[in-house]
Amino acid sequence: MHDSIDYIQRLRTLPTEAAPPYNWQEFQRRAAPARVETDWRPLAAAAALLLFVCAIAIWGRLGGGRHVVADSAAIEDGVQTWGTADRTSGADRQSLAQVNGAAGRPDDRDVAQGEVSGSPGAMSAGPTPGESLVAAKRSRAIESWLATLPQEPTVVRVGTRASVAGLEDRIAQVDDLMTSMRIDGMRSDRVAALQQERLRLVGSLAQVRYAEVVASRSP
Amino acid sequence: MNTKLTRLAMAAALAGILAPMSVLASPDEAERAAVASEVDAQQKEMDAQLAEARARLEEAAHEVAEISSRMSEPVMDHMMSIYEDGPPRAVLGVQLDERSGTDGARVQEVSPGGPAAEAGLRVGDVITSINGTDVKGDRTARQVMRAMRKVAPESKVKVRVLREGKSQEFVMTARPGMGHYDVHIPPIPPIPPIPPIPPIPPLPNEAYGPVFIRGPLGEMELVSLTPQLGRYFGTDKGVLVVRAPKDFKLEDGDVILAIDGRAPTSGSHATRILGSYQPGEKIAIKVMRQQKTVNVDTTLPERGPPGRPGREGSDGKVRLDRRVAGRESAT
Repeated sequence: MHDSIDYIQRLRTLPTEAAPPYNWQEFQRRAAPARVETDWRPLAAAAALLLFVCAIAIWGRLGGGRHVVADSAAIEDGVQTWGTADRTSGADRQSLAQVNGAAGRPDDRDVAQGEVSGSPGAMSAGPTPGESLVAAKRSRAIESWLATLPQEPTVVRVGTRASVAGLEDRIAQVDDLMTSMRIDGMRSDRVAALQQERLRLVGSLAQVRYAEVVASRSP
Repeated sequence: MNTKLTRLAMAAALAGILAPMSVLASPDEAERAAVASEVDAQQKEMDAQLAEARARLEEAAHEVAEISSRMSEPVMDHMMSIYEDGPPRAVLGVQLDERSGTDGARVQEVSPGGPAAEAGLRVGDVITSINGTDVKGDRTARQVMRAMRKVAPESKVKVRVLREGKSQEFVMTARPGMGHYDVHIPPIPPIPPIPPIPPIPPLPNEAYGPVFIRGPLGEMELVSLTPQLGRYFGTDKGVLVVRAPKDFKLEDGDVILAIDGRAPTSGSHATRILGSYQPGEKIAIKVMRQQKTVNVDTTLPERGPPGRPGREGSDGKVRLDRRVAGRESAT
């Protein structure tokens, strides 16, 4: 108690305002050499690094495909986890690499082309028929991997299976709608937008089925 | 005598040597036991962590499925708005080539996991008849679409195809589609902008979208009956329940023979049948229990809310909270 009173008294005796350490001229004088001595080397290094990163990114977009390699390694790891000889065959590995090449890129594209699937209003500026063709090819690569899986795991967990069934039904509906649109001669960009949507759904189906297989094979 | 004494002396000396050694060894053993116990505990903890990680992976898969389906809704709705509404129709899960020849409708894509894929249809097959109705001449793809208008969802469809010059027949179970869209409405001329309309609450999934099952029912585990299992359980048909959900009146070891008269042929089929009911609906399940046929009247439990487990739902309430091994869920 005494201590606090003592502190209060001491604080009250302090001057109301402290004098500035130095005036404006002194501040300018001290600041000037600092500007002169600025070291540009780190900035130059950062700029060079930025340019390098940009170059790598552009190279990747032009078909470098570095991320595909990385992803395929990840999927192959997943295959090894399953631990069955039939799944680690060369053909399967190849198809998985294709899957990954197909499944890895759409996500990037989806981000870039968010308007395609997110906003129907922007669909007229959606993917071109050429892109639709690419999407169809990627989708087929994923489907070829899906075709290597058994129709259902030995032990079916209802919740997960319902998710799989939900996606499968949605894809079947998309396919039916695409047929209708084609035979009615609908605009190709609309069909292409649906093709992109189909690719996304097929990619999701592959992910869900992968999780299902992993869960069903766990000891 | 001397020999006996010598032997006794040697035995005593050996005992004298071994006794302190055993005393010395006991702390070591205790230490080893402690280490083993610690390793065992660590192993158990890691097992639990692994089980939890797997549960998260499975939960993430649920989320991927739900979010993907939800994301596709605006696109589907937009495309569907071009057509007139109609009752849901059946789909086979194929894309047909609109430029198919006069011999039949060429299959351009097969939906993964769809009825056609399950039956064995392939890309390149040419559909020549649907339920006995020939598909030939002009606009064969359209003919198939028209033929499908007469098919009810969940009914069997006989599809004859031409594959590598040979005719083959496949039987598949049609699945519900999104509605009639055979009537093409001509494009409407652009209209002036209208004031924003207040948001319409989303339709439930049951309108036409996929059904996702969470909650206790989602935890149920099923096994398609093999002939060997069938002999053991006393039936050659049905789906074995290896993990029954709480409050559903089913028991582990029950074999589901029919759900409201619909006989499930696999775990997937049983899942689809169960998914066709609304939560709270009453259903009659015929099961084989301890080699006897039993009729179970039960109510479909809540499917569980969408959203991330253990996180807040749209209403601010914390939903599912799956813990170790993903076996327990709480609201």
